[in-house]
Amino acid sequence: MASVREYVANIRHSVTSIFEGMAVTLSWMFRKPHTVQYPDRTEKPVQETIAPRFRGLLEVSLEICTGCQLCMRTCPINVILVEVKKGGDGNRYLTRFDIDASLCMYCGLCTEVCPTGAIHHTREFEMACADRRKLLLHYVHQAVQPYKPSQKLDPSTLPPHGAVVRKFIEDRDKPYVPYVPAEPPAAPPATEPTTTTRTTPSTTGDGGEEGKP
Amino acid sequence: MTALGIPDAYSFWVLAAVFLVYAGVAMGFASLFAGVCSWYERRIAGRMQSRIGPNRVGPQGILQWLADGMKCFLKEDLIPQEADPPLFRLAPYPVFIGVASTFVVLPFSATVVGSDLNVGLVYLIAITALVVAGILMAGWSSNSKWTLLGGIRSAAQMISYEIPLALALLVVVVPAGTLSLQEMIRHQGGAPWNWFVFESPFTFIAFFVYFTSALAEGNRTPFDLPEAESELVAGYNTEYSGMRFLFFFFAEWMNLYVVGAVVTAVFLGGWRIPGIPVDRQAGNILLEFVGFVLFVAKSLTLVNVIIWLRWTLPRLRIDQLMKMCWKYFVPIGMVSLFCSMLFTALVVAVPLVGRLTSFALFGLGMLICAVFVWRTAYALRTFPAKPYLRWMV
Repeated sequence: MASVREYVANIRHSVTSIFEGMAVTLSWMFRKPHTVQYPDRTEKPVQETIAPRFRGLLEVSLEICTGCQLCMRTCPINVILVEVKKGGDGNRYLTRFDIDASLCMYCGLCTEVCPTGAIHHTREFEMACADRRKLLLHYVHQAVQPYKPSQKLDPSTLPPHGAVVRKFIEDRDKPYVPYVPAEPPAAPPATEPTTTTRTTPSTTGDGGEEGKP
Repeated sequence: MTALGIPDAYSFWVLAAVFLVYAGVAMGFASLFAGVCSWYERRIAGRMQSRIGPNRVGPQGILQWLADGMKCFLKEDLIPQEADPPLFRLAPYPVFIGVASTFVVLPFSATVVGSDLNVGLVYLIAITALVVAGILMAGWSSNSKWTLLGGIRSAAQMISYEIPLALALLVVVVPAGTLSLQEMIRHQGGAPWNWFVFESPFTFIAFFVYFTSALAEGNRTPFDLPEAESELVAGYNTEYSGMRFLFFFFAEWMNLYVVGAVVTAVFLGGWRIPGIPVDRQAGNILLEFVGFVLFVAKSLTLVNVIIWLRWTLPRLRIDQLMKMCWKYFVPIGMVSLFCSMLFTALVVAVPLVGRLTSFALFGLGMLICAVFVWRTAYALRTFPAKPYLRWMV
């Protein structure tokens, strides 16, 4: 008798569970799919839907870079290269700021030490390209004077976050152009070109001789 | 033939030409169905899993099947070194022919049918056995463990499930008194309560037994053990590529329509239009067309159910599969057949019982549908999400 009861119970269980299961799957036909149709059919660019503090590609705002090179020193895997040279006019010039995006592990240590927030993560991530050399992001094409905190720059005049990196991403499939590091402007009367890398951050301004170790 | 002014000497060739054209049209219909269904099923699967599915090739991805077909045409037709080449080359065709030959007896409307065989149901059961041969051939000739296991499983499964399949059909044959599909449809009424599903409680059970067995017979999920991806790579078609691989899937999707059409013809009133006598429907072009639309609509509804079942139920284990066949379906089929005979005798004696039973069963069917709608609404409420009624995304 017990076996008959089990037999009938088995039939009942399978019928009711199939019935209930089909109701559940049918109910999903009346719901909106969760799919995000990246990359071309999103409601807004996918970058804007990522969390604001997402650690994407590193970007440098040269307008507020003090040339202190703290980021270069703190980077555990030597991804960043910053060169500050003294120009002929006696001023310090930022001549090179490279970030190797192929090497960066997005730990964010450089952004933590940056005193002005010049180096920061963006929400951009689409840097995949066919040429590995394109992943070496060169931020300086023309020697610029580092930012002095006393300048009191209005932050609203800065370009929006990601605008500089966006240019690298747009150019990522163009043919590779060899990079020529910028040279500081030479002074009208010829003076000896000084290569003062690794200057201490305190010696902003014209402390030329102090920079030499 | 003489009536049409064609000399008798040519009548054979005229008939042959007519049949050839009919075969072409039927195969065209089946191929188109199989192709579009491959895309449609993936879309449905997507929606049920909260995805979208293929929607890039053509509007809403409707040309996806053409792209897939082109891809398979252009792929290399590999034959493994250790395989048995003639058998390996031959294997997809019995599978395809086994399914395609059912279109000989499958009606489209009152007069549009390849051949109204008086042993139509027997022919149906017999010709689909070719599929077993083809799958076993593919499994054996590939000379691979996966394919052999898939082929053997398929043979075991299909031979086992032929028994409840035939029993469930016989349950309906008893009240119908015929084996011809067209005759069966003529015996049913147009209105739902005159269909054979609601003829007696036993045909009602037989309907479900037949539907499930037909799924197992056609290697459809949840009975797709011969090609169980998680266990056997791809089962019997593991070693196949290109066009030969496509032929197996062609047969599988065509089989969807075949299952739907057979269930429609045998259980769901076929091409009968409610309220119109059978005799008027034959020959009248408009009514024939309406009948065709009704038939295909019923079949496609069942195809939808099959697809829906596929994306609901997990695959059975081989022992569960066999248990289900031999311990549940075969005894239930036997008892149904026996009781169906008794019931038919009772209905012949007291016709009122038959009418009342039909109405009661039709009410039961409606009740089940209503409960189902309620359960679906309940499921929609339990996992809160905004109802989204657009089908296309």
